[in-house]
Parts: sequence; C-alpha cells; structure tokens
Amino acid sequence: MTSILLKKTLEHLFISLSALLIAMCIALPLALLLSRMKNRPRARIILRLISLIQTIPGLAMIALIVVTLVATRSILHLPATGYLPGILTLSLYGVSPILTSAYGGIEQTSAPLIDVATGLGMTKRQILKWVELPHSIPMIMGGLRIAGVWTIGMCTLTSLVGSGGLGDLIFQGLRSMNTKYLLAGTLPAAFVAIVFDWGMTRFEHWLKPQGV
Amino acid sequence: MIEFDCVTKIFPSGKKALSEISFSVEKGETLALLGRSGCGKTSALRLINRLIEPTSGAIYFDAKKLSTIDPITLRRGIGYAIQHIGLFPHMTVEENVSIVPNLLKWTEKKIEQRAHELLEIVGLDPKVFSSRLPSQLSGGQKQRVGVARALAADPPVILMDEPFGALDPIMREQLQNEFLAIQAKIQKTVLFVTHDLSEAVKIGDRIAVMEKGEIVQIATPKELLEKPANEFVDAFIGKDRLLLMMQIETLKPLKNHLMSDQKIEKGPKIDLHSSLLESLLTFKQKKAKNLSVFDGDKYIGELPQDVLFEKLVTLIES
Repeated sequence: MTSILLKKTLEHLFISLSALLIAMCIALPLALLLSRMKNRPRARIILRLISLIQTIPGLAMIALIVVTLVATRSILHLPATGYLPGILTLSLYGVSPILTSAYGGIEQTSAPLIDVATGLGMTKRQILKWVELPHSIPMIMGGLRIAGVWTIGMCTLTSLVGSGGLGDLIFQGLRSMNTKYLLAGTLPAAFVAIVFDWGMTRFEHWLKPQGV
Repeated sequence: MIEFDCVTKIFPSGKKALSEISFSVEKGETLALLGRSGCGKTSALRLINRLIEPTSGAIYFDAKKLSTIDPITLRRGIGYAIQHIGLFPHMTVEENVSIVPNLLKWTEKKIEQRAHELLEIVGLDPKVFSSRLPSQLSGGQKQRVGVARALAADPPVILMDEPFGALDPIMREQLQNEFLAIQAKIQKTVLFVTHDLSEAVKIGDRIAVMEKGEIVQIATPKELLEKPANEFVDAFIGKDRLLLMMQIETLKPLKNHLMSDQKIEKGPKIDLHSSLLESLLTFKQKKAKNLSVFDGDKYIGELPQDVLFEKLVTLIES
C-alpha cells in the first residue's frame, strides 16, 4: 500500500507540475504580448475570451479533449488515453488564472513610474525588466499559486482517461466502496496542494523585491 | 539652449494643450513655467524630453532640431524630476540615484562615487541613506532623492514638474532654498513647472505665465510684479503682490543707507542678499532695533529699523 501510495503521489505531482509548466509557458508570454498591445479594450476582450475556458466543466473538458484526440488520430497520431489528455486538460485550465494575474500585474504598474522611467531614458525593454516585472512578481506568483492548487485538485479527475495519479486510488475506492482507498487518494492530494501553496508563498516571499 | 518655435500640441483626444508658443531658455537660466492646472505647462515640459511630440512647430536643443535627436539619448542627457516623486519602490536610494549613470554604462566604481556625492549634495548622509528603500524615507527625503536622481549624470538641462508639490509649506521652503543653493553652484539650465506664484518668483530667473495653452507673459519676477502684461497676470498675482515684492527685493539697494557708526550697538546678523521680508521677520523675531549686515563674511554696517520701513512704504506706494 505504501509503495503504491508513493508511486501515485509522485505521478500526481509529475502530471500537475508538467501541466502547470506548460500553462506557464503559454500564459506568461501571452500576458506580455497582450500588455504590449496598443489597443487596450481589444486586449481585455481577448483576456475575457480566454478566461471562458475556465467555465467549461472539468468532466466536459476531459471528454472534449479525448474526443478531439480520437478524431485527429489519423493525422496527428497522438494517444487518446494516458498522460497526454490529462496534462492537456490541466494545462488548458491553468492558462487563464496565470494569464489574467500576470497581465493585471504588468498593467497595474503605476503610470507616473513608467513615465519617469521613460523620462530618465530607459528603453521599453529596460522598463519591462527593471520596473514592470519586479512590480508584477506578487501578482504573477499569486496566479501561479492559484493555478497550481487548482491543477493538483483537478488532477484527481483526469485519472478517468488513464493518466494516473491519486485519482486512481479515489476511483478505485469509489467503485468498491472502500473508504481506505478513498482516503488514501484524497488526503495526499489535499496535502500536496497545501504543501505546494505554502512552498509557493515562501518562494514568492524570497523572489519578491523589497518595497513592492 | 532650448528654443520653442511656434509649437502647437493637440492631443489625440482633440484637446489643444499648446497653441503656437514660442520662447527660449538661455544656458544656465532657470525658467519657471507658471499657470493653473491644464494651462499646458506640463505639456511644454514633456515636449522637451520627447515624452510627447509637437503637432506642429519645432523645438531646438542647442540649436539642433529636437526631432533629429534619438529620444533615448536625449532623455539620458536631460535631468527629470516629477511631482509624484517617481522613485522606484523596489530600488534602494542608491540604485534610484544611479539609474541614469547605469543606463550610460559608467563603471561601477564611478557610479557608486557619484551616487554618494549626489546624496551629499542634497543633504542626505550616504552612509545612512544609500541602502534604504523609498518607503523608509520621509516626504522631504524622497524629494531630495528625486532631485539627486535628476542631477545624476550631470545633465546640462533639468526638467522639474512641481518637484516640491507634495510637501508641506515648511519642507517646501527648505527644499526650495536648498535647490537655489545647489543651482547657484552648478548653474544648470532648468525648466521648472509650478502653479505656485511665490515658488515661481523665488526659483525663476524668468517666469513664463501660461493660460489656455498660451504664454501670456514672460518676464523676470520683478517685471512681472511691477508690470503685469494683462488682466490675467494681474489677477494671478492678486493680493500677494506686496508680499512677493518683499520677497524679491534684497537689502542691496539699501547698502548706502547703512550706518557704520562705531557707537551703535550691533544687532543680529543678516546677509546683504536676504530679502526685505526676511529682514522684517528677523527684526520681529529678535526684537532688535538694528541688524548687522554682512556680505558673505564681510561686515558692512548696521541696518536701522526705520530705513527698512521707509523702503517698505515706497514699495506699498508703487
């Protein structure tokens, strides 16, 4: 039992963190791109549209992804079960919170500060690096934390498509009405989420420049 | 040094901020741009470091057309201090002050040396303040750092947009005095935006009074108070005229009326370059009958109360 628990927990972490990493790689450059857009209302609309992903129920999203993977199998040759659909679902969910908070963070850097940075002769890139990004760190980290906790929780659901993780134990417990299995899946999942949240808070504290 | 030739600025919103203004600022001169909010004074300032571009007309910097100078290079060569202080909260005092030298890629040692020198110039002990964050400073200290940052790379031109606007009157006066003392030493070309007449009178070698995007009058403080060009300027000066005249006029014209009789008891010290107002206040505070006037370290003579009063009466009558 212990070894299977450890294996499933690690698997769970692997899936969640890879999904988070992918979401981050999509969301952060996108946030940067949107914040550089001259047309702000349009940037906001794009942001809204992307946040609509969040409204798709988890189960429906998993089904959608699997169906899409199956439908495109003749062209893309991607597996419709296992890690891939799981990680794909979770990544999609993670994009919006990270994107929204990172965009908000860059946007909320106060106008007089940008003005003075420009007036002192900083280039756009220098303003981003020295003024806007340091100011956005708390917001960006907040977004990552929310997305991370969400992903770790959601990850129990993706075991439906055979991606593994602690969801396996929970579903096994559900099928056989075995409380022991249910708890063996639930408690570590909750524990991992709490530890992640705590770790991110520490990390943010360390990363955040003083005075912001 | 800086010349505006028929400059008009219309914002994309359609608001006309400046209409066909022309003026020039000489090297080493402090020009105060004075006017109510929305009169275009800040826009005029921001045109100079190309934070905004003119709709028509041309601006010359050292006889070079501004639009031909790369904005980044231009800005690094112009000091800039604003009302909102604009210190970067995540950078220490030293880092804030070193921004432009850093952008100009000075050596680390030179930057540190300069930062310490600057902090000393603005009256902050580098040992105490270098590593502090802006949030750990008082309003006056922040403003000092803001001024130090504007001076950092020793730019020939400094733009200041209500740099002392957020301070209480006492702090404000103190910083104005310090600024004047610094400016007397470094002789920069300064454009100083303010809505406060007494500040303009105090700081400016000349004052440009602005209203609705136009320069209504450009003159020395004395000319402005004595011969306001029109009703607007007159109204702007209003009832403060006498007080301001007392601020501008120094004891210098009274030099020949000083008594140097050995028998007269010496009074409290005052400098020949002090204003009439300052002298009057000194009389009041010290309850003295006469003041000992010094030109720097050199003793000149005694100023009796009646001589000052007589001068004030002529001011009132004019």
